[in-house]
Amino acid sequence: MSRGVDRVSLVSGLVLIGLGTVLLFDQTGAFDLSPGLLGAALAAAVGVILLASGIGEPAQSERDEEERERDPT
Amino acid sequence: MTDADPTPQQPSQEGGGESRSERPKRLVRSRDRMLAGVASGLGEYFNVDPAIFRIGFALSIFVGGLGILAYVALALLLPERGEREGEELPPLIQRSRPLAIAAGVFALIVALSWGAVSFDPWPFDRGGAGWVFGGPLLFFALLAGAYIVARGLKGSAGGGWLGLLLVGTIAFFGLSILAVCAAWVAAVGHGAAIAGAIIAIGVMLVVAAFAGGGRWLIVPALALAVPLAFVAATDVSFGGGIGERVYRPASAEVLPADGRYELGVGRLVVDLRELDWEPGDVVEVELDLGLGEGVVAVPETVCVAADLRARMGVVSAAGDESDGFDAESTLNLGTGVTPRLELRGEVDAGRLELVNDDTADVDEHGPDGFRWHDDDDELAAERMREACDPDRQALPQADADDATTDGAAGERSDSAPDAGASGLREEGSGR
Repeated sequence: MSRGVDRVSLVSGLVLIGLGTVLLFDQTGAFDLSPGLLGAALAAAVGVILLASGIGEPAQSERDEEERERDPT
Repeated sequence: MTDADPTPQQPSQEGGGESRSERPKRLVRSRDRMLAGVASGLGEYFNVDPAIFRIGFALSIFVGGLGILAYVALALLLPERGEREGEELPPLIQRSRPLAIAAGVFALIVALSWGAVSFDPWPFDRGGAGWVFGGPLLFFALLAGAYIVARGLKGSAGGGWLGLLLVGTIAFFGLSILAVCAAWVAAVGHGAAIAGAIIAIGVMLVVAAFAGGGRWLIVPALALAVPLAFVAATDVSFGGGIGERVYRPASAEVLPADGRYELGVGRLVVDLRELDWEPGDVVEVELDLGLGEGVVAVPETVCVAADLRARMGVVSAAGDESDGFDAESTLNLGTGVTPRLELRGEVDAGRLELVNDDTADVDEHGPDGFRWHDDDDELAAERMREACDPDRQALPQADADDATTDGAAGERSDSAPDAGASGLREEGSGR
């Protein structure tokens, strides 16, 4: 992956596309997911996004915040 | 995400001449660790072998896993001993990136737990298959997510806590409104549009990954996805209206033609205790409730054949209670015994209850309401067995008269949804 790609946004976007597609199929009646599976899909999406946030590069605002914490002056 | 200041924090008592033994003893995570250093830290603090704590944490897996929760909490909350003498590193919970990783792992564990429960076959009982600490793990994951977002907002707001409070409050209300609107749109049957919006935001995020910026879109996307998933899971529909509906039909003529009572969101009460029940009568009633509470009340002398279901919530029929996802409660006693109510009820999310108590007040909960002690479940079941006893065919008129006197005053609605036709049939006349 190239250096300029924000991996957090990329992973989150792909996860949301997947989750949205599952919900779209459920809403259009293509299939009927049980509450447990929908809850699991939602928890998995949140988990992957959080993991990506933890592993990926910090955003600019977070880098600024980190800089402020290092040097409050 | 931001790592909090990794700069070592010096202990508060940093007098150069003080020896280590003079400093107050502090509980910290040790660097001599097998996992997170919690057991080693506890061992050092209490001057005992850390293996004792390790065994304790391991054994706690078999007693509900609370020890695991305690371990995780300590791992997050305790500061960590630094490499240098007297040095302490801030606890993990103050460092966003490890916190995000931990929360993400927990959310995935919950997802695996729930997903596995939803697939058959599963080696455990369906109702109790979820790990005991699955709920707290998810709660922690969401809390950690909120904290990480708050830190991001704090950075955007200029670093001040006042700015964070202001931006956080605005963001909270904005997201709440967005979530409520999404739930509403989905519940009126346009959930596909919300799903499309989530996909669109996902595409925007992918584009933003190459163009820069756009991470903030994750939060509103989840604010759309969570209510949509809830509505999809529960099939909540706002069809049938919103509010409180109380029906107390006094005769079969005001029962709806198809016996159907429907409400989208709110409280739906069908009190049949004032109905003129005669031997041979069979009344058919169907309840369809989206979100809320549904109550059907019958005289103690009426036998009920019930089939109550909740996609998510609680159903209770004369002492037979079930809860959770796809909860179901059925009564099938005394086939052919009359007078009889044939009840079918479904709630998408909430509570559905059959009350066979002549004195219970269905207008309120609590000590004077229709549910108060577990013992009442047994009494309700006993009353239903008596009512459905094939040897008892005649309804004592005195009991019926008593039933009509309770709660008759102050009814908010006596008319049926589609009054004018009778939902009552004589046994043997066919359905």
